[in-house]
Amino acid sequence: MWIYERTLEYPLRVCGPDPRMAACIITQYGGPQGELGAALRYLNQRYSMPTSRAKGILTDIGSEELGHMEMVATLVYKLTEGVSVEDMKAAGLDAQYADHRHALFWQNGDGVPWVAAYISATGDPVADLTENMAAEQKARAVYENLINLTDDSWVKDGLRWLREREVVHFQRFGEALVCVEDHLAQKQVFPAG
Amino acid sequence: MNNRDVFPENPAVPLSSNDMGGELAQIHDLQFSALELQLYLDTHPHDLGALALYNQYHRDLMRCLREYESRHGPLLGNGFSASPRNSWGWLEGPWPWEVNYG
Repeated sequence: MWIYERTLEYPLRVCGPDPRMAACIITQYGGPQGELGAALRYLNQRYSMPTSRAKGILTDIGSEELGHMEMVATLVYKLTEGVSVEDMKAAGLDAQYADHRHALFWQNGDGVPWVAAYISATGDPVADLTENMAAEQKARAVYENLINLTDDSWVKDGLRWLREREVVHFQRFGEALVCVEDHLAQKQVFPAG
Repeated sequence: MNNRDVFPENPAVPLSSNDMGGELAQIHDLQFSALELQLYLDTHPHDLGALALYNQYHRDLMRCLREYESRHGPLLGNGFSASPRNSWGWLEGPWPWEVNYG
């Protein structure tokens, strides 16, 4: 069960419309390192985790990622709000406009749609938690790339905040991994003789 | 990459709690602190200091949430917030992506 809260996790604003930047930021909505994939990856892995700590951290980070998905969507929404067809064309987004007008879509910066193959679920808790640590670092790198792509100080502020969360999540997944490895080591049976 | 791109020494637009709209800023702060402690406690469940801090933030958050809702309407769905008696408050005011924090 999830409870909706009618506010963003962190307040966002933009200096003004920037459809080109919105088309880059959309990758953190539906791209390979995006927040949709992150939320689904973590929430889905809970069912094959051996410890309550691992189930807890996946539940809580997975839920937070849903909130980040809403934040990324908000940035895209605000950067394209009220932008005319002419300005969409001028920004090179005519094909985007043809399919979606001003709607958001699960895609990366090149328009490639989201696929479930972005998500890893091996059933091996060590492999999956290690995958999550890599996913957090990749998402951090993408946020840094996005920060470099804009001069909008408010957009930078929001992206920096999201980047920080990747760093914290990486840390927590690392701790969960150690805990799971300890758990598996204790279960290991070494036959005598 | 240049670290100053990520951590500028002098951001062009300074942020302050006032920019986020007073009471909601307080809720954001408390909620963020509680969530950060929740993630920490998931991997450090025996840290009693963190546990006490979490419960303190929980109490402060519940108080701020109720005060905010009595003035500005419901924040939570699924029966966790009451609606004003004369109108369905859930639909009133901008949605999260429409809010202008200024």
